[in-house]
Amino acid sequence: MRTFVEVLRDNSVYAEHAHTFLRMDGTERVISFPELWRLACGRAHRLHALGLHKGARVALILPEPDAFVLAFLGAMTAGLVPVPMYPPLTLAKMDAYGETLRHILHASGADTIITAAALEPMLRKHLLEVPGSANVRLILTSELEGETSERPVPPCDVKLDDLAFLQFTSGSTHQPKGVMVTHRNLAHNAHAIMFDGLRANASDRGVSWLPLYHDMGLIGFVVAPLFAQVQVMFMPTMSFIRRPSSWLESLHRFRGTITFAPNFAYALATRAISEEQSGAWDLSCVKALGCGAEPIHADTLSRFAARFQHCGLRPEALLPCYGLAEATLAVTFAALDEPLIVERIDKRAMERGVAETTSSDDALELVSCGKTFPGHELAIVGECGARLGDRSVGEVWVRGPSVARGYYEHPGASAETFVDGWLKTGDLGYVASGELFVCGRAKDLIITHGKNYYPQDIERVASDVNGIRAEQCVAFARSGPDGSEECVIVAEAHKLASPELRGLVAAVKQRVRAELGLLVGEVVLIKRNSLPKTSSGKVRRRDTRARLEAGTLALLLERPRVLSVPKARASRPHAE
Amino acid sequence: MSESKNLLPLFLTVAARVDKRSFDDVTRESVITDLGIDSLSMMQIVGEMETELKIQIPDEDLVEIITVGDLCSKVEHRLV
Repeated sequence: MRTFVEVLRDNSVYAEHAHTFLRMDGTERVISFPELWRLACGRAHRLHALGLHKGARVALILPEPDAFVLAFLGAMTAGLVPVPMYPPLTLAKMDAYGETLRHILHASGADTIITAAALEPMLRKHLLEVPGSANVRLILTSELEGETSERPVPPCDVKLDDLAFLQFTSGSTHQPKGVMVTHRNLAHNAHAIMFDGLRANASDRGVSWLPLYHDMGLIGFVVAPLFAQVQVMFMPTMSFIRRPSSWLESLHRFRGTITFAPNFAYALATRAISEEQSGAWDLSCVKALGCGAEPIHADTLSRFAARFQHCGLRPEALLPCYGLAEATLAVTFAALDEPLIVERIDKRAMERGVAETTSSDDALELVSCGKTFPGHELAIVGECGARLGDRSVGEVWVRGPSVARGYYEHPGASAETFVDGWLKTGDLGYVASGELFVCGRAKDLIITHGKNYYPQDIERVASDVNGIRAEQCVAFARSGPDGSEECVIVAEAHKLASPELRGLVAAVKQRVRAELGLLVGEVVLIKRNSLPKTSSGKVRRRDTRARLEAGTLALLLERPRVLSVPKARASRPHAE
Repeated sequence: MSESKNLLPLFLTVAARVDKRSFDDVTRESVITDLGIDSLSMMQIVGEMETELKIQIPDEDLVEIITVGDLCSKVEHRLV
């Protein structure tokens, strides 16, 4: 078992292997494996010279993949603990972004940010120059470049049980939690992904546009492939979002064999790529099209497979998987080279917590996320804490060497989630013949376009809008028109005339988008004191959602179904 | 505003292509989300405008864009 730093070092004998980085401006940068090690060592020494030493947390805000990967490898080689952070979201307000950064810096204890020159003015204005901000030092990537000695030697020793990095994908923006991932976790999970899951070898090639501050992009493509000497082509996330064709185009051009994406990306690619763009592609090289990070829809994947079959894409390449940052990344993978396993489940039985298959049309369609890896164990646990048998729905628990050490300096939250070696995932599912089917969430999380939103954050923002009764609102997810989830807000409003109420709906949507970058599907205004609450006065999200569906909420304003514009798009036939 | 190129017509053409529907009564003052354009569509619109105009619009330009005019101005600025 080797640390990731040892893997980097050992890989330096593969002189003919290289990572390829596409940049936003369209240029390409190729970095060979020996060069990768040399540059990582160089950066590690520079970081030490700048006064950063083993164990120090250092935040990374770097939108370009090459800059991110080199800084990440350099920090790890220096024994530092990188804290990958997301770059400013497009369309969001910068002061809200600055506030989120401050919470993550505080939670991680990082006082240094490595960033790019282009982001420096924004960080100065919205982070450093904000009154009350703690002292934060900015290091630009240009300060880490420069000549290094010809024989790369890391500045310190990194051990398997050292903290490798902190992954902030959990918790609300006001109470973010950093998952502590060790080098041992990384080694185990990387082996599970590359060898048990993908049966990869040095001739495989990865292609990824996934954000590198997120576990699927970071572990899945920056860390794991190097354990198997797999070369990767990295693209900026925004290149895919702006031009969805660029993803499959890269697979074709780079002869990619492995790629991963959330469900929404498969829907987007199917919808947005024209016949003209895909005409000349040969995608027969692809052996694994991983799908994870958000609920998986069988029809999204089958439509994608059908749409690109003429490019030689094999439907068996589709590989649903399940994982979470608290388990480093991957927990289960569907079998390689096998067709999707889809079950149609009786909705009534499901309400009783039993996953009975049915041939009725009115069924829940669920995709198997596959089996867990050797050395790891999965359990379905009921509310009473007892392990449940096959086809009983309960919380998914995971045990094994990939389970992270806990949340950084968050003993309370750690004790709730990490119990006797088990990780309580907060996801609901059942197991049938060893296959895991995920069917819901015990936590009230909203996942849209691969990004997690906590209802508390949305409710806080909505409740600040003039006209909404303070703290009298709930946010929850429902299945949206494009296969992803969408957010619904139900809020008590002050008594107003209809036109003003309509203005209020717009104001809430506007504010949530500006502060959180989230487009709300629907805002429902209800009468005062009519929001479902517990006896202790806490809001009841599930109950509110059920009442909205049943039509039993005291509405102040008729729900304008016609306004749901994206529906029209989703219901269009998919043929061009 | 100066005599620079007005990108509203291009925005409307590209938005119609991306969202597969037509947009009426849109001005530079229209709020993008009020038009039912979500952030994914918005980024594709930016991507198509880049292709049409053969320019690059860096991510840093795309923050705090509320109205159609905000977007057009940023793109127009890159054309100068």
